Amino acid sequence: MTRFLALTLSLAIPALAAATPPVTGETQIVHSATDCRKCHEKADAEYRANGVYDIIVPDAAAIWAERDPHSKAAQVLDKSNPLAARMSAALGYDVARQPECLACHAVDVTLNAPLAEKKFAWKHGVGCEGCHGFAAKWFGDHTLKTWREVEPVKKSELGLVDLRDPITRAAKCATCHVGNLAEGKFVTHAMYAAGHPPLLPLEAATFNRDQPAHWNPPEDVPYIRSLPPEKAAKFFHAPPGQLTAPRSVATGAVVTLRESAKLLAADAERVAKDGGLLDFAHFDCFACHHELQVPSHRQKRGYPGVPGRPTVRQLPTDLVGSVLAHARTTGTPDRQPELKARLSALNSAFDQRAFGEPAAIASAAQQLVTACDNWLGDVRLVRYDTAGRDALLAAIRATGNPAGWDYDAAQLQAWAARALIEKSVAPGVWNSVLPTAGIDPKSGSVDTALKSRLRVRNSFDPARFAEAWRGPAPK
Amino acid sequence: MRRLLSLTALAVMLAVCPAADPPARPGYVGVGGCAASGCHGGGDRVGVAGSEFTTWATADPHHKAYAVLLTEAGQRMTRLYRRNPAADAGTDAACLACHAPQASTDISLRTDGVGCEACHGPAQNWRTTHYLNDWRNLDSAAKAKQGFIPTRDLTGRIQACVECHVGKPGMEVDHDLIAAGHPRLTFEYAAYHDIYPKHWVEPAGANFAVKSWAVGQVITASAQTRLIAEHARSKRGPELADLNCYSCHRGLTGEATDTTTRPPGALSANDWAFAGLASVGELGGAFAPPSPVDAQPLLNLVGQPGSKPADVEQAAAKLQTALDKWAAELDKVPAADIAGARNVFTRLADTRATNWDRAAQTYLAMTALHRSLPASPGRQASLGRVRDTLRFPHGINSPAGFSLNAFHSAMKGVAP
Repeated sequence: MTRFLALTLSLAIPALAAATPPVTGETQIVHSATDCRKCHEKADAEYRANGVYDIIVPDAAAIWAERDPHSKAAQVLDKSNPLAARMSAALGYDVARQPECLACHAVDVTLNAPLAEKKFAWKHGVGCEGCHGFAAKWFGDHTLKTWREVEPVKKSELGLVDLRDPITRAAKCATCHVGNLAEGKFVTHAMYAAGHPPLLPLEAATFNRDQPAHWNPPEDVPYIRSLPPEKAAKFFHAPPGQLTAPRSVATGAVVTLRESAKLLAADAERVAKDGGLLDFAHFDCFACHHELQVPSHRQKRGYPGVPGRPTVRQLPTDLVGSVLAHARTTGTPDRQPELKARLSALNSAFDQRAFGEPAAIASAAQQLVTACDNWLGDVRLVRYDTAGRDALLAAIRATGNPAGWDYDAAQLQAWAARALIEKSVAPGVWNSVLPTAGIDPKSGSVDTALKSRLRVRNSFDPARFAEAWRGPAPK
Repeated sequence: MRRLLSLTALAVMLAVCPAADPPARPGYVGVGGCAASGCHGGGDRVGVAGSEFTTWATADPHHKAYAVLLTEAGQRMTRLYRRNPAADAGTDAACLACHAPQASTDISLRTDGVGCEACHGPAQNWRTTHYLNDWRNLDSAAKAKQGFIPTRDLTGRIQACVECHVGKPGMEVDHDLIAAGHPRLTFEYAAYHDIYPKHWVEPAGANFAVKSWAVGQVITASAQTRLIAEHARSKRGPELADLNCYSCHRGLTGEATDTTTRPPGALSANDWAFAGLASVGELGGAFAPPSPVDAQPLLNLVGQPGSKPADVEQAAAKLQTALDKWAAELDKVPAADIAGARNVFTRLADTRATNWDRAAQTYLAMTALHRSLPASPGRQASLGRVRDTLRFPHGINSPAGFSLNAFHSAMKGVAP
C-alpha cells in the first residue's frame, strides 16, 4: 500500500509527451508510453508481494514496445520506409505529418476536432492511451490498490476505456481497423492506390491474441477468479465459467459489422449531401480489380443484381449470421430474417446505379447499425462456456457459402474458427490455404511483407479453401 | 429501362392509332430481295461485281450476326443482362437492334443478321428503281430521301458503321451488357476496313488508308461524345463503359498499365475514341480541323466522380459541334493530299502512350499511315513487333502483363 502511494506522488507532475511536430505540446492528457513503462515494464518483487500481478501482467509495456506493431505505427510513416516515401510522393503530402494518416498511426489528443485542427502525440505510435484512454484524470488513482474496487462505469467517466468489456474493446480496435469518419480515421481508395496495405479483416479474438496480448483473459486472472460471480461480471465483464475467446469472436463479429456499417453510412451521408461518389474503399476490391478471364467465372456464376455494378465490400455477415444462429439455439429471438432483410436493402442500394445510390446506402447502413446494436443486446446474454464455444464453432463452420468468400472473408472465418479451437491444437488445415502474411515489426521492411501479402491475396483459390473448410475439423 | 419504356410507348401508340399514317421510316425487304443471281447473287468469288450478296453470305461476318445471338454465350449474356432466366437473345429488341436491324420492321427478317439494308438503307422505296438509269441521276440527298444510305462517301459509310460499332443513344453496349459477357467495342475504321471481305472495289485515292483512318477517328469520337452526353442526361449515375476498362480491371500484383496523370486511385476516362484525334490534326493541310478540337476537358469531367451532368453535357456539345464540322471538311480532302502522313508516322514512333488504349490506337494509326506510304517490308515487320506487345494473353480479355516500356522499345524499332 505504501508503495502504491509513493508511486502516485512520484508521478504527480507527469512529463508531457516529448513530442515533435505536429504536436504543439498542448496536451493536458497524454502521459506517453514512457511514463507507463516505469511501472509496466518488468516484474517487481514488491509489486508481486502487494498482489499487483494478481490482476495485471508484469511486462505489459515491454510486450507492447518489443512485440506489438502498435509501438511502430508512427515509425513506419517515416520516409526511411520506402513504402511511406512512395505513398508521400503519390499522395502529394508527407504521410508522417498528415492528420489523415496520424489519426490512426499516432495518438490523437484532440479526438473531436476536425482533421485540420488535430494534434497528435506520435513519438510512441499507438501508445497506451490510444486504446486505454487519456490518463489525466485516472493516472494517479489507478496506481492505488483501491482502484480495482472502483466500478467500470466510474472509471469510464474518468476517461479509462473499459477494455475488459469485449464489445467496448472491439469497438476501440474498429475505430482504426475498420475506420471511423467522426474521428477522421478512414483508409481511402486513394491511400490504397498510393500503396497502403489492405486492412486485415478485424476478428477481435485473433487480433487480441496476435497483438500480442499484454493482458490475461479473465479466466486466467487470479483476482477475478477470486471474486463472487456477480462482482466478476459487473467489474470485469467476466461471468464465471464463460470463456473469453468465444465471447470475443461473437461480440467482435457484430461490432465489426456495426462499425463497418457506421463508416459506410457516414460516408454515404456525406456524398448524398455534397455529391460525388462513395469512396471506392467501400466497394469489393475484386469487383473491379481482376483481369478479364475468358470464360468468365463471374458470368458463369451470375450476378446478384445488375451485371457489372460494383458491390459493397464483403462485410462479416456470414460470421454474424452464425453468431445469431447459435444465439437462437440458446433462446434469443430468430434474427436471421432481419439480417437477411437488412443486407438485401443494402445490396439493392448499391445496385440502383453504378457506385450506388448514396441516400439509399446511408439509410440501409444506418438501419444495419441499429440492428447490430439490438443483436449485441442478445449476444451479450449468451453463455459462452465450453459447450457454447463448441456450438458456436459448429455454427460458424456450417453457415454461409465458403465458395463465395473472397480472401478477406475467408480469412475472417478461418481466424474466428481457429480462435475457438483449443490453444494446444496445432495449426490446422486452414493455415495451409491461408498462409499468414502479417507484418513483423522487427523485420523492418513493410515493403517486402506487403508484396508477399498481396501475392497471397491474389493467388487465393476460393474452391480450395471451401474444400478445406468443409473438410474434417483440424485435430 | 428507358429503351424498354420507349418501345412500350411506341407499341401502345401503334395499337391505339391503327389508322395513323404509315411510319415515316421505309420498311426492310430482306436480303432475299437482293440475292437474285442476275442482281447481287452472282455466285462468283468474294469481291466480284455482281456477287455482292454472295460475298456477304460466304465471307462477311455480318451474315452471322443473328446466329451468334443463339449461341450459348449469346443466350447467357442476355439472361444475365435481363436478369431473367427466360430471356431470349433471338427475340430481344435490344440485341436485334444491331444484330438484325431489319427485324425492326419485320421480325421474320431477323435471321438475315446484318443484311444489305442494315448498311445501305431500307429498300422498300428504292429496290425496284435503283438499277434504272434515272437512279444514277439522283444526288445523295435525293437518294437519302428514299432511305438509301450513301456508303460511297466515307463520311456516310462510317456514320452507318458507328451506329452499331460505337452505338447511339438507346442502342449501345453499356457496362451492364459488357459485364454480362458482350465484348467491349473498340471500333477503328481503317483496321476494320482492312480485314473486311469487301463486296465492292474501292475507288481508292493515294491517301485512302490515311483518309479513311482520319474520317473514322473523327466520326468515332463524335459518336462516342453523343453517348457521353446522353449518359449525363439520363442521370443514372456514372456509365462505367465511359471509363478506361483496364485502369480498374487488372490484377493487383502487376505494374499499373494506365499511367494517365491523375491522383492516386482516381478514375480515368475511356479515351479509346479520342486517342487518335491529335494525330489526325497533325496531318495538316486539308486534314487540319477548321476549329480547334480538344477532347481533354470532356475526358477530365468524365473521369471526375463529382462532375455535374450539366457540365458534361455542355463540354460534350461543344466537342461534338467541332467534331462534326471537322468530319464534314475531311470528307472533301482530295485524294492526293498525303504530305503529312510521313511526318505523323515518324512522330508517332516517338509518342509516349500512357495506357493500353492509347498505345493500341497509336499502333493502328501507324498501320493506316504505313499503307499510304510506299511499301516497305521492313516497316511492316517492325509494326508486327509493336503489335505483339499489345496482344492479350491467352484466356484473358485484358492486357495482363502489358508493359508500356516494352511497347515503347518496340516503337523505337519501327523502320521509317
